[in-house]
This record gives sequence, C-alpha cells and structure tokens, in this order.
Amino acid sequence: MYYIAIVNLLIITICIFWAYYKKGILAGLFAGVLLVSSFEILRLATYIYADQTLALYALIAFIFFYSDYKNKVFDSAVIAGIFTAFTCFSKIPGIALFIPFIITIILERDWSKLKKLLTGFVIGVFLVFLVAFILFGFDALKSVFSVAISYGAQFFDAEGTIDRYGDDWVYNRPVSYFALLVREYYLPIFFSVIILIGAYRDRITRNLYFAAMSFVGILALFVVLHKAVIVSANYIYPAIIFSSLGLALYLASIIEKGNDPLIRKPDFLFTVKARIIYALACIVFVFISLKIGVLYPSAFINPMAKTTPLIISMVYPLIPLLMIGGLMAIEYWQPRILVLLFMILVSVWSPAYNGAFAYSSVSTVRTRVDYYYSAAPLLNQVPADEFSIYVKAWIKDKYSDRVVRIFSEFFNERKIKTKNIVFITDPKLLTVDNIKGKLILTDNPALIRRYFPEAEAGKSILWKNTTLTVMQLP
Amino acid sequence: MSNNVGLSSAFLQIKTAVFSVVQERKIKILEILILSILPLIFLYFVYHDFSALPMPSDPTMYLVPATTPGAPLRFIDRLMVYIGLRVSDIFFHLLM
Repeated sequence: MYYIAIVNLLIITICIFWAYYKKGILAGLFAGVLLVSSFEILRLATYIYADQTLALYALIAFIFFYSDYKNKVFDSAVIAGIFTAFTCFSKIPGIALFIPFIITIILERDWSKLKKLLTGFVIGVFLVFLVAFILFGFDALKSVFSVAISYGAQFFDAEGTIDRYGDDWVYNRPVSYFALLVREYYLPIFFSVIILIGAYRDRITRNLYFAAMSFVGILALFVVLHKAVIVSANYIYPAIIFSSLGLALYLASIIEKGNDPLIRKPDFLFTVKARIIYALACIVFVFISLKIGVLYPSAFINPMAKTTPLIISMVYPLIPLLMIGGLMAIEYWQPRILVLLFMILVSVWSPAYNGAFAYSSVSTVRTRVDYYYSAAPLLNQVPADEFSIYVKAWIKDKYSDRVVRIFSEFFNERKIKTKNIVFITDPKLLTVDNIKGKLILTDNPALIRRYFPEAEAGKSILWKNTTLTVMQLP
Repeated sequence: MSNNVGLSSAFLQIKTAVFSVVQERKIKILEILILSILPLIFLYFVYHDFSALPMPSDPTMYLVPATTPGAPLRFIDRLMVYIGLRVSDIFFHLLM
C-alpha cells in the first residue's frame, strides 16, 4: 500500500514538475489534471502492479535520455540506460522503451549516445542483480532464473483462448488482433490522437507519443506473434502516462504561441495573476468533480437510468463531442482562449466521469477478491498439513480454487504445501480417491456424513456469517 | 548634486532588480505550491475514498447495464447517448 502510494505519487509529481519545467505553470497544471482524472491511473492506484513501477522507471529514463543534463561522473544518456535496465527488469513490455531511443539515435546519428545508453544499461543490469543478490541471496536468484526459464517455455508456446475475465477482454490469439484494433485502448487511437492534435510537429510531444506508441505497439506484436499468455488493458499504463504528458505539453505550446484569432486582446487572461487564479479554479473543479464521481458513480455509469439527474443525461453525449471538436478547433485555429476553455471542460467532467468508472471498477475488484482474502487466512486454523476443502459458499466461479494459491503465497503460516490441499468443487468428487488427508473443511457437515457416514464434526471456524466445520474422517 | 542623482538612480535600479528577483522567486514558489495540490488531491481520493471502499454485497449496484428499460428518454436521445457512450469510451478511457 505504501509502496504503490509512493510510486503513484512519484509518477504524478515528476510528470507535473517536468511539464512545469518545460513549459510553465499551465503545462504542469494540464499534466496534473489529465493524470489525476485518468481512468487507468485512478483504477490501478490501489493495486500493486508491475506496470506502475515500469512506468516510473520508463518516465525517468525518458526524461534523462531527452535532457541535456551533464554531470562529471555520469552523462544523462548513461542514467537513462540505467533506468532502461530497471524498466526492462520490471516487466517484459519494458523493452518497448528501446524503440524510441534507438530511432532517435538513428535519426540524429548520435552513435556516442548509443554507447552511453548501452553502458548505462549494463550498469543497470549489474545493479539489479547486485540488489537481488544482497536482498535475497544467490539461491533465490538461481530459483528465479529456473522459474523464468520454465515460464519462458510456456511463453513461447502461448496458445490460450479469448476469454472474458471480469471487465477485461483477454487477448491471446491472432483473431483477437482485430478486437485489439477496434478496442479503445490500443494503437489506432494513439495514432489518431497524435495526428488530431498535431503532436508530431514538436520534438518533445513527438517523442512522448512515440514512446506511448512503442508500449502499445509491443503489446500488439506480442499478440500477433503468440508471445503473450495474457495481454490485458493494464499494460497500457505507461502509454497513458506518456500520452497525457504529450497532450499537456501540446496544449501549453499552443498557449506559448500566443495566437488569438477568435477574440481580440485576451492578454489579461494570460497575466501571472490570471494564470494562478485559473490554475486554482481548475484544481477546485477537479476536487469537486472527483467527489461527485465517487459519491454518485451510477449517474455516470448509467446515464439513462431514471435516477440519473437530467442534466447529466443531457450533457453526457455532448461532452465527448465537445472535447474532440475542441481539440480539432485548437489544432486548426490554435487559439489560446480555447485551450483554457477546453481544460476547464476537462477539469469539470473528466474527474467525475473517470472517477465514477474507476471507483466502480475498484469496487467490483474488491468484491471479487474479498472472498479470497477473507477465506485464505482461515486455512491456517485447520489442524493438519494435509486436508480437503468442500465449502459450497466458496464455490463462486471457475477461479474459486485459487484460494489455495492465495493461501500458500500470502497467508501460509505453517508452510503447508499447496499440493497437500484439495479444493473440491463438486460433491460427487467426495470420494476416498479424490480427497487428501483425514480432514475436510466444509459448510455442510450433513453432506459430508452422507458420503462418509463415520465422519465426526471437529473444530468450528467462522467465515463471515457462515460456520465452517472441520470434519474428521476415520 | 549630479552625484546624488546618479547614486539614487543606481539604488533605484538595484532595488528594482532585487525586488523583481524576489517577486519572480515568490511567483515560482507560489506556482510550485499550487501544482503540489494536484498530487495531494490524488492521494486523498485514492487512499481515502478508494481504499475505504465498502465491499458491496451486490456488485451490480454500481454496474447497471446501459440498456436498463424504462429510461425516460426517446429513441433519438437513446441514440445520442449510445453514440456518446461509444465516443466517450474511446476518448476518456484512453486519453483522460
């Protein structure tokens, strides 16, 4: 919890102040508003996922790679290389970060930068192994490698099916590549956004979008080449960070240009005082809007329900059209005033809308995992190292037996081996051949007695409102 | 006399320069403070509201299908909302 809070906070703070350093307070404000009101960032904020750590390292590597920072000891490209290594070791899609770097090096024909990047990468790899060795020892490192190699074999044989797990489609077949293309998360949208807002013109925004597209592209490549077991929407996280930064810097660059074709003399809107008041107003809008989204999520998720306020039902279809229209107008006329209006619209609507969706998504996931995390610790109370489980209240879906895995990975106080616990999902399987040990944990002792008439009720364990009984077999 | 005028104008220039530097620094500090509010808002919501989220006994209480019958909207409004939903799916989920 603290770990992911620090990672999230670092990502958002670095983005805001990097944008501020590049293009002033409005760029920092825009980056902050876009990130704080992002669906993916809010949705994943309370789970520890490798993607967030990956995004943090990728962001730091990106900033150093495209900066002119020089130190007596290290060049910025070397530091970028070190963080690229950390990115790659966070998760395999991290290798996407090499794509924008290599292309920039080739385009600028700066071969010394390549040497520095690779030097940094080697140092980074060494540091990763050194830290792993100090923290976990040589044996752990060896076992990580053996697991990686055995998983690697699976990795290259990934077959799988298209499956719907919760709200996310799981893609791992070529046919699902089409699904990828038409879904909102992936490549075409990134292409259309970069073209829509003309972000390709400026070096910073072009590189940011290019980094974003590299992360998206590598996922598409994994799918096409059968190289991924599961490619789900979480992996888009680093791309969202880069594209949000790209949009923020693009909008700030429009303000920098100072064109005002729509209104005469709006200079009073761009004084220091006015900018500060505008920033404060946007921040207040974000706060109020997020609160509304969290308090009334169903109003945004289901705009056609009777309970949804009429105002939300009415503006609902207009907002996205206004936003896309606004971006097109900003790109075409490049008026400063429209950028300000656009960001007010984003500050008012986006946190409520995305906050509502993210809140309900987190709520659903917490409901889903509630069973695992409330049930798994109870297995410590079963007084044997080998036993069976038949608890009807725990049989919810085809993943219900994962409670044993959750137990062995997070709650196993007595080091019971996973293979010594059997999770039975069908009472017909309650036979001597299928069960393990002499104990059965159940919420239906009568049923167990029907199959094993000599079974005796032992210890009782309370799970929520259900009493579980440990049945002793003769 | 002319020396005094020269001195006072030099002082005035230094004073203006110092004040402008101080002013600029003040503005920078103010800007940084304002921008620092956004990460704090994020922390507040995520670790106050999201983490303290009650486990609803019925998950559908938040996820009502968009095609719930009985909505007080006519066909064209429904169509508009549908288009809005799709466009906003694409736009918000990715960009914002």
